[in-house]
Amino acid sequence: MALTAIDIYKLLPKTNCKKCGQSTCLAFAMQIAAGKASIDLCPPASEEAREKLSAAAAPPLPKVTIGIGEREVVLGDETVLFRHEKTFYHPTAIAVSIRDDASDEEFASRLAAIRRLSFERVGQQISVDLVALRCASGDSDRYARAAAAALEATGLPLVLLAPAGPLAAAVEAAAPSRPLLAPPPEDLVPAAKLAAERKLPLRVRARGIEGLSVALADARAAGATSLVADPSPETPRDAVSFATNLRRLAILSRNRDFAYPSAFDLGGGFPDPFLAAALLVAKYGSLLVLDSADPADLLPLLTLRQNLFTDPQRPIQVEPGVYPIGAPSESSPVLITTNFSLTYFTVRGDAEAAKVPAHLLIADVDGMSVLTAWAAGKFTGESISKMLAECGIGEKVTHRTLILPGMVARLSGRIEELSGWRVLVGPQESSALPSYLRRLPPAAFLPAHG
Amino acid sequence: MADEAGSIRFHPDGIDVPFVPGESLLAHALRGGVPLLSPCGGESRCGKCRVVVTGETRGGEDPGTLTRAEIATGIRLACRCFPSSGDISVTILPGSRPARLAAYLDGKDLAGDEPFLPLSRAASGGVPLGVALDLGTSTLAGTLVDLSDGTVLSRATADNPQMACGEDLISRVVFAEETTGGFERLRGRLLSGVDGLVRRLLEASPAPGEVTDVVAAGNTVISHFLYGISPSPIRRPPYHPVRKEYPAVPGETLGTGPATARAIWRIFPSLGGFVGGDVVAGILASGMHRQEEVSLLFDVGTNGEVVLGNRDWRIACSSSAGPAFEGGEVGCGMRAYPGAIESVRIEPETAAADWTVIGRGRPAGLCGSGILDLCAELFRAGIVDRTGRFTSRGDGGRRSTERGEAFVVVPGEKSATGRDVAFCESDLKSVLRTKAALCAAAEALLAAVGLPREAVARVYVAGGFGNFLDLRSALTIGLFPPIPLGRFAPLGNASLAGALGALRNRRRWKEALSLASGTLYHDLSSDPGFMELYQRGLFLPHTDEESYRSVLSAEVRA
Repeated sequence: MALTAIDIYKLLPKTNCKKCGQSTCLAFAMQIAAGKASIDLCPPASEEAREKLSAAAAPPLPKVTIGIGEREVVLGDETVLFRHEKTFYHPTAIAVSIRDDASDEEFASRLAAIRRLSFERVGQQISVDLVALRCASGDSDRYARAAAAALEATGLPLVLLAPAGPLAAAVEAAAPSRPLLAPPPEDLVPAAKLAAERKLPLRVRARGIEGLSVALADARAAGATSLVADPSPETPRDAVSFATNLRRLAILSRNRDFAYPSAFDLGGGFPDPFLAAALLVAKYGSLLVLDSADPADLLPLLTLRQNLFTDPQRPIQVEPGVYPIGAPSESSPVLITTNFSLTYFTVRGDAEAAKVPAHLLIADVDGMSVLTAWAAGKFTGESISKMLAECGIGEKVTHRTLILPGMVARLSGRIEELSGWRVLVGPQESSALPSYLRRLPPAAFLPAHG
Repeated sequence: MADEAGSIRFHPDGIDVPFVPGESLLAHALRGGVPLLSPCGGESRCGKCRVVVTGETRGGEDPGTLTRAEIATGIRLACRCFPSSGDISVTILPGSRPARLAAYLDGKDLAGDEPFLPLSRAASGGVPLGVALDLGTSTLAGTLVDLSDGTVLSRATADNPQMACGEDLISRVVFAEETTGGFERLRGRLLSGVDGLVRRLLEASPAPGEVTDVVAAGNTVISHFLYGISPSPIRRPPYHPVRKEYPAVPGETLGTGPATARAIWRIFPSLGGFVGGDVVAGILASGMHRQEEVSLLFDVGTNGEVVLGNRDWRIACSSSAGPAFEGGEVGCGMRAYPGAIESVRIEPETAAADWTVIGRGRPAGLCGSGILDLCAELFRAGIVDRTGRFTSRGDGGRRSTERGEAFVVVPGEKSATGRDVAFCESDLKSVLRTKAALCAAAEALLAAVGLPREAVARVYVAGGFGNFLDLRSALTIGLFPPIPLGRFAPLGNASLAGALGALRNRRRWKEALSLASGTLYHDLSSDPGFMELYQRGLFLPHTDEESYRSVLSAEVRA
């Protein structure tokens, strides 16, 4: 188990000497526990403390990267077993496979299909991350050409599922793109040497935890350092059990021998591949290879992944701007609130419940709620007037009447002075919006005069 | 001085205030020193500045806070009512007059008996006197001590006159920024309030003498006003105060009244923008900084502050708890004055409410402990569900009001104001937010240092509300983390007790200075886990029902 701030604090000198730059030893211990500081910053620390804390500082699950640049895929680097303990950092990576023995035409259309596996959901783009190239031809040249073509057509990082010969040929063609080498178990040692030499990540495949303990040791002995473990399960149940045991060994037991991200090849006739994939997204699969490129299979999986890996502790900010509620017209009411997502969704839901079409202005206040933003001086008469002038609402409606959250009624005078808009003070609680909006006299939103 | 324009007469005090055209009745009252409640600072939000007017006026008929019948009988909101001439008489309704606190609240000093080692004992003549002050957001409290032997000579309490310029601290900081002369006005109000308090202390003292030392504990905003520096940066990210330490100065430098002008003023250091010297004084009084066991300290006031720690380390934070337990943000809420309902029991079968009221007379509203009891009883009786909504049970006790459906605690014909003392869903939501913020603040501190809540050996609850609350009710609604009731200890006005302790023993003043620099300020607004903890607390009692149930049922068996 990772050391808590209090555990770390007990090892520190407890003098609050501030030499580390923190105000107290406790603050420094919290920084170390969060992985944001190292014991080296504490000159008076004892030898014992240094020893214990540098071991504790290493991440329990090392980070493995595949690909480069924007499309880089990060596996592992997790610190907890459950999201509520802290957070998960890296979502399960999903690769869709393609065979090198397909005709040129089939190959190109399959790559195009993979490229289309990208969807927009709640304002975010969710996509397949990698292309897994299966060597079915056994022909090194053909495989290398296919690797280059896949790279060129999709720009996605590659998983090279191939025996040692074709693998080496493909590495020649694609090494700078940092592909993951995925040899069959019998070719582990030559592939590990290749991975060591080219500093590439390597998938180590063996049967079960016992098999992996030998195979991982062999890979390390051959000099490969950036490893991903595939326990080659035969059923979905096996897969979840292996993945869970591997992650527990890494996080709870801090067993360095098994502390690697996991990979699962769910293609090639694996039973219930999407059931297994869904289970592995939830439980500790770091990389999944699938044979289907059907959007009907991938969209639910990507949606599940997005739901599980979106950190609920960091409320998403809503894009500031003018949002329509229903189909608003030029005489519909104009409401304003802030871009804290919780505030936005609450106000939006209540405004929709009113069944009165309206324009909803979302002010940019760095994702704070209404009162917090007001208190921090971000939701002010000045900022609201500026938004009224600049967001284009003036062209969308003919009236000049704004409904202000009741919590900041005090801003109404200033807004009226600065913007020339009339302000109606809305309810303090968003839940009162439906009855408020329904009771508004229609005359409130007649065209402005003068 | 009344001129030709005439003057406005305020009843029942019979104070005449010269008429100024264009000024609201509230502004007249403030100018003339007429006691009139205005917790929202004249924003027409709270609906508490009710007056009856005879004579010609315009405005003040806010339909959101006044009923048609009330408007018809001449009731107006003073902050929105403008007299047309100086020939008007105004009667302030009983519920809108600030009353004095029913009782001065002492604080407990748990740090134990200390030798008497006063800060200073040089008096030019007579007895050297010391004043310990607790400068709260809504209340000022003081104790006068004979510095030659440490005896307490007198005690007094008063409303903080800054209340008229805003109920909460942020409103006051905004007032200071946005009103011409606002900062000076707020500072002046504080100094005159303190001066009035000190004069009352001296009048009540059996022994004459000269005040040589003042020790004051207040939140960071009040300390800034007192020290004459702008509190503005506190409300903006990164929420840092201008200063955390306030070197000792004579009263005349601060601009205090003559009674303390020659005394040395020591102001407790602040920990951060929203954890002030009052909390440092509270830690001092609790003695948690001397124990090996880990304690939690809650200061439940207008803001809620929480401290976790022991003799080696301490970590403190402030939660934007809101004033629901001081009567703010709750329709029938009021402070713990005579006429406030302080405890409530509900008969589950009939949904009939039984209550006790502070002082004699009819109830006018609910104070913090009453609100807490009411929420717990509504939940226990099944009248509200876990999410804080009314169920179908006990609808006999409910009435539909302008603010939605409400549970009637006291019907209008039995209340002091003639209006129902009622509690609606939005009141309950307000309480839920307050209690979730307070409980989550404590949980966030535990999470930040990585301690389980079982490690907490003592829980100190400071503040007037903390003294009178029913702990079972508090844990029924989840105001605190689920810790066995036996570990809780009320501290009363710990801030005043800490100030008094420092006044009587100079070593403890030094202790306060060092414990301030050894206490870490944890900013909840940048704690990513806080939001989730907060949301878990938005239920009755919490999403973790089981822990609360086991803490409460263990108590029944014991």
